[in-house]
Amino acid sequence: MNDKRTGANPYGDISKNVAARQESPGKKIAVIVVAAVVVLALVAVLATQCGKDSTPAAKNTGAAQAQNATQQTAAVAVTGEPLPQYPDNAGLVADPATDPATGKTPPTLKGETFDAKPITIAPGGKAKVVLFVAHWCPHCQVEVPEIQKWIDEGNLPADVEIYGVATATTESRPNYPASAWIASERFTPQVLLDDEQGTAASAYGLTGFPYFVMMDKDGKVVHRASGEVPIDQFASLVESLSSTKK
Amino acid sequence: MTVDTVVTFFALLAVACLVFVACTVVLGIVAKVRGGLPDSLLFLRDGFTEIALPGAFAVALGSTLGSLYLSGVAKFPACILCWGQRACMYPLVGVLLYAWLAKKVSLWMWVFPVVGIGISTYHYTLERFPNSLVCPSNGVDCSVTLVWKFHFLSIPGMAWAGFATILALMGIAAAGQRRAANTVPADDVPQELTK
Repeated sequence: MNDKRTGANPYGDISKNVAARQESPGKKIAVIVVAAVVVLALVAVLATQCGKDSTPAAKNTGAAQAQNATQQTAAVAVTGEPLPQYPDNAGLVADPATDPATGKTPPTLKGETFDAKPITIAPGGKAKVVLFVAHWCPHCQVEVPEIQKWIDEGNLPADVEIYGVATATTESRPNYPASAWIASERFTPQVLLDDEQGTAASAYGLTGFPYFVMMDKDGKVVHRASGEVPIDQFASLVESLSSTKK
Repeated sequence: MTVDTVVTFFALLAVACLVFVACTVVLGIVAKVRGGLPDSLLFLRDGFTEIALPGAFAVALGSTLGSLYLSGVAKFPACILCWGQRACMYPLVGVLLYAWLAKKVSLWMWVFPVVGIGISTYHYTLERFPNSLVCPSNGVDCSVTLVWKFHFLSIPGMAWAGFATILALMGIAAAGQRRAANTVPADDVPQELTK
């Protein structure tokens, strides 16, 4: 180790330097690196676990149903004519003038929520947006929080309802179960569960995710869209359903 | 332990790795230009030289475990480009363990991180510009970005950080080997470089 007598040595600084190097700066750095990794792990836990799921979601919301989930898929009863498929060449938002579904009445879907309560999505009564999402679809994972933020900011007109449909639910795919995802996004619209065959999705003419069917208060299809629709565009489509224009 | 927590952890590690790589490159250039690092930074050089190979091994192991987590637990599908990066990263665990124990970096060892960072660069670019690059498809679309953290990190982005860190650490180890091989220590600056 360091010889005390080198203190009077004109080369003392150099000797100290050498001694410091012999004390293995590598070990110190390794300890610092390991400590930094532990800190990063804590940051990751705090950043993702705080504030989320810690409180129960508001009653009668999709998130509350999802927090009490007992199932991920459920039988769906379809009554009425199925909608024509979303056209391949229709792009993100179908032009109502050429969309074969425009003016048609979608079938009524009778099914269950995550917490096994009955739920019906029926045309008429109020204008409705039916949003089909798959838990593993990256575009849905982007769209759902954006729509929820838009709802949370109070943008949803009082005379329009939004329904979610959790479809294409597959245990072997990412972000399973869908209920955990819906709960963590604190998604407020009610969510109907599709069955394993995608009965609800095919009755509504779905070809890709996410998929939107918007109907007026008479239950006639006004707009359809498929894909990651920018929130501004989504907002203007929903506002066009409302009679209380802002 | 949710997938989001684990992915956030790996993304934070990747950010730390990128900071380390940036510092290494800057100090490397400084050392090149000055003909050596300032004395006050020599402890960093020596410290990192000491832990470079075990460190590179740890990075390869961490990246491999992260990759296995993403496919095994989070169930993200792996595209051809993902498999290419895995084919470079997984063997690095063994290669770098060998390098650590043998205390030397051989020329052939560079093949894995160099090819790997090339594939990561291509994959990351493809994610950003899906229409201008080709995805050699195996049924899984390369352009689907399953992870997007801090507005810049995707899975190939994190792989890039891993390969870059391994390259930086191998570089540090190789530079240490060269200094040890020279009888004149590299920090004894040659006369002609000092004004």
